[in-house]
Amino acid sequence: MLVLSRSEGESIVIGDDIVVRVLEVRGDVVRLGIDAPRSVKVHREEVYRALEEANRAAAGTDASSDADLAAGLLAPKPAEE
Amino acid sequence: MSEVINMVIARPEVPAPRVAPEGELPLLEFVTPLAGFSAHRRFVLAELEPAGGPLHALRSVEDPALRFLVVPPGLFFPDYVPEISDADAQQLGLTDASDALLLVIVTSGATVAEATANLLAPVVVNVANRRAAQVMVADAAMPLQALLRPPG
Repeated sequence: MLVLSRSEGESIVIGDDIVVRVLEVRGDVVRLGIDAPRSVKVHREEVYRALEEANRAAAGTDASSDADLAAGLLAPKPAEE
Repeated sequence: MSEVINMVIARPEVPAPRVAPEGELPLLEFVTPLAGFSAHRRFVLAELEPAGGPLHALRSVEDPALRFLVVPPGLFFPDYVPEISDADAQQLGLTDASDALLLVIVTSGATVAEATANLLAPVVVNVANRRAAQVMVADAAMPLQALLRPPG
């Protein structure tokens, strides 16, 4: 891993068109500003990892239980409506 | 740097637009892949039996053994009106909210009562060009696992 020291207001450039700027350092929190092309998705890592995990949990193969779920979702809601 | 988020999509009272003519299975091209599944860009959207029900399958073209279950959220979460970013809308080529089909990914449990839906990162389909993306909605507090059939 490349390690760089930067102060408030300073930036790093990744490739041609991604700029990460240190906006503020306060205690143990660092605020970063990120300029990137729209095609580059920027996420907080823990949020993105949780989404990957949720997708893996949802991924499956066609199964007979799909029909049970489909039928169950069609059944009228137990409570309201 | 800070992104303006202004596109409100798929109001529940508006019926979802059809992706394909009757009898034709729409082929979707993911411009932003499902997180963790970047090798899978093309999916076919199929209605599951019984016909007319909400449950659909997104089947990978690259790997026929991979499928995700999805539902339009309106039936289960009538107050769910997520906003997506301008950048995501632009990538999908979405200029008119009425072209957006919103689907949420379902994780099936042992019973229907345990089935959950991912409201944080729905799949948005532009029915006009069949581009799709899994997008993070503006409200970061949206749950990754919301019960489809909450008790009570």
